[in-house]
Amino acid sequence: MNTNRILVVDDEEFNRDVCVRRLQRKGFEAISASSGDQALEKLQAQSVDLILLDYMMPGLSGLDLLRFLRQSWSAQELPIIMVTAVTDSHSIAQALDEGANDYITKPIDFSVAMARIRSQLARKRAEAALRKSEERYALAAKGANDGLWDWDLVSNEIYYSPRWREMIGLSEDISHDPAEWTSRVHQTDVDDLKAALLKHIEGLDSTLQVEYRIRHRNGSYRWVSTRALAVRNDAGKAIRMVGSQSDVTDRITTDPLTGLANRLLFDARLEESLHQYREGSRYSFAVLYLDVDRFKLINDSLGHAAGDSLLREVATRLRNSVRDMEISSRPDSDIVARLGGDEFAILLLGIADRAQAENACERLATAIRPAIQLPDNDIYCSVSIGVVLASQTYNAISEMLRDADTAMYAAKAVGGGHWAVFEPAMQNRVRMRLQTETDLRHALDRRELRVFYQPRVMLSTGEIRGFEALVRWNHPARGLIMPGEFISIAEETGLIVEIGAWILKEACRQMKEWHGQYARHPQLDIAVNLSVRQCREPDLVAQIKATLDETGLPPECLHLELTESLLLDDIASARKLLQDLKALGVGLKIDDFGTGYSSLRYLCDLPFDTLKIDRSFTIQLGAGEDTAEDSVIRTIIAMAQNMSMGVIAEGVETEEHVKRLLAIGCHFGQGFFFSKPVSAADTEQLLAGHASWLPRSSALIECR
Amino acid sequence: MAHVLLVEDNELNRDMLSRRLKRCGWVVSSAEDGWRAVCMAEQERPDVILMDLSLPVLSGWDATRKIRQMPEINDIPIIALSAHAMLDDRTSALAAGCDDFETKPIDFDRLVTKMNALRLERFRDEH
Repeated sequence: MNTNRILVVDDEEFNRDVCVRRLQRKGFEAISASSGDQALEKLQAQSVDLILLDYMMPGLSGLDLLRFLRQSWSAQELPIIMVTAVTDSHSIAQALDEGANDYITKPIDFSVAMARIRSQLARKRAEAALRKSEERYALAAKGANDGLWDWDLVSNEIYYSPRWREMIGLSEDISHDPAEWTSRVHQTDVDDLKAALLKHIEGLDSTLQVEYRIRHRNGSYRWVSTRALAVRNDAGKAIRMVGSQSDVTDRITTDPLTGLANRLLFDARLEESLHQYREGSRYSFAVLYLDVDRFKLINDSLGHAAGDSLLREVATRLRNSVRDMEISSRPDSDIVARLGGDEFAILLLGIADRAQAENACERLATAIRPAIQLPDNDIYCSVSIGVVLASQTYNAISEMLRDADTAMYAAKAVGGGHWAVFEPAMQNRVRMRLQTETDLRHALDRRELRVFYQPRVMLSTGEIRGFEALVRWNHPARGLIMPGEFISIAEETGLIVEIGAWILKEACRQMKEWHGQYARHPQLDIAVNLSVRQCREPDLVAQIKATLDETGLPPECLHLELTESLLLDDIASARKLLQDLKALGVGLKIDDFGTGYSSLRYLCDLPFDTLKIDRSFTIQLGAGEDTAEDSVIRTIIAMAQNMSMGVIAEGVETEEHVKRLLAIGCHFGQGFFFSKPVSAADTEQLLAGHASWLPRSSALIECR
Repeated sequence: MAHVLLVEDNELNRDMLSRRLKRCGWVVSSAEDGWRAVCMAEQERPDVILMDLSLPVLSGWDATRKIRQMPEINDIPIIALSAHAMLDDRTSALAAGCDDFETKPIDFDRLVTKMNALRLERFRDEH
């Protein structure tokens, strides 16, 4: 901070000298003048922060100089402390009357003088800071087309500037009534505006910036932003408020990436359309929700820049496609918006029935279909579309949007590139799903989840070598629920992370317990599934390590099963994760092999030790003769052996399967032929009974 | 008749200057703070603005900047009036968009000469 400059005005040289020296020692920059005239000269030459002014001076007296200075400088701008004789209370009163900020008496008690100087300087700084405050700056800095207003809070009259009036299409003068303003503000926003004004007037908020819609003379609404500043009297009461209003419609209603309308504008237009429709206007309309299929995958694999280019191109195609439809009699009122991410919405006026809506969807889907050229790739993409038609049953846009969303999910469920028009039955499915989601959130706390175990059997001997841990949900009302009905929900909501951690721990704990009860050689192992979502958790490896440490299960007895979809996401981080897991000493199995897209090339690179052949291959194994499936499995097995990987066949359901698998060199299997997944108690029965599924036919023995 | 907007928060100074200006034939409106000055400039479109620098609500610098941003009135000549005789006040006033600068106490004749010169200049620019 700059040094404060103090001017000492005194006709006596000794006093001046002492004062200047002492001020300098205190760190001030002190200058002095021996007369009023000399003081004025110094003031012309340089800026001064405070004056110590001797009352009694020959020539231009201290009081005269004070009067003169106060014509040009206010008490806030230039604090003046008068130095008077102690007895002269009349002079003191007069000096304060004429605008002196404070006084000190002679002989000067320097500590008192310092205190008063510091307090005056502090006040000056505070006021200077206030003058430069953000609100003032903002008021001054606003754009060229601001409408100005000036509100006299005492008479409650507002001056509206010509530009302010023009902004809402009023060319003629309007009254000074505040209602000229507030009555034009959108009913949804008016309370917020009033509250903001009141808060600022009462000093609860030091700044005021508020955005709201105001009705233009032509009936449309403009988005405006208002900044204001209350002017207060000495008691701190606001007596006046001034402010500016600028039109921010374009900024606030446009999606910056695509230039389409954003959600705000879409909602406003939809609100307007629904309102008119309910009032009996002739326009029927449809709302379309669109979502780019597999956008996340594209974005992750090609990068955000490519993702953004793609969205821009999709936006352009949608806009052109809607423009070319010429369905509605007011084509300008159709609106294409980007709601965020890869979600778009279209408001189509003039769509009266399902057939017209489907026709529109078809045209949109066709527009999206041709390859999109990005700098490095050509991309083919598709959109899923959910449609809802306006109906008198809709009271609010939120209801329409909810149904459009439901329809879009129904379309997505069919697969990419489809569309669906909302029907109430969809709602039931969604409601059911939501209920499941809610219940699932409580399932862990209420201990409703169970781990079931399915044995992995050595095909040649029928011995149990290990188990796969599979989750079941013992729902209080619906009974035992299979994972197919809730795991995808757990994945989408992220609950899978918590559930997965619990299964892992429970399975490890249980297996450790069984090791104590049923000694085997080699020891039984336990396979636990890891979902893609779990694999994205940064502390997964640490968590597994902690579980092993806590339960005491040897790492080689834990096998983690991962699906190929993990590899689809991001091969580099998948490889890193697998290596880290491998380093723990656990086994790694690739699950559902053959159902995904992963090439064998990927597998060679990755530290999997076992491959599980998907059930869909096993159940098609022919009876005795070589079929196409046999050769697929044979190829898989040969490949696995080349890479020193073990092979397990899932879905072993018949004795025939066992024979065929043994014949083509697969040594391990699991499936209903041996046992379905069973509870821990039933598993103990299996183990205690030394259950084995010894081959019964001689043919099988030959195969060994 | 030439119209001047006098912006000055000190009532005494405002009265004195406004009386003298009226005596030489100017139509004078006055504003006592920076915000009102901007509002009045937009509403009344004066030929010249005399702008004190230390003003309440908006300072003279800020009011000048604001006027300079507003397309309809950004060409109105503004003369800054200040008791601050320091060089940096002069510089900052010109930087904010003032056309000229006068120090208080006012040399009235010189001020009027400057006002007329600026009016003339603007007239020439427009024609």
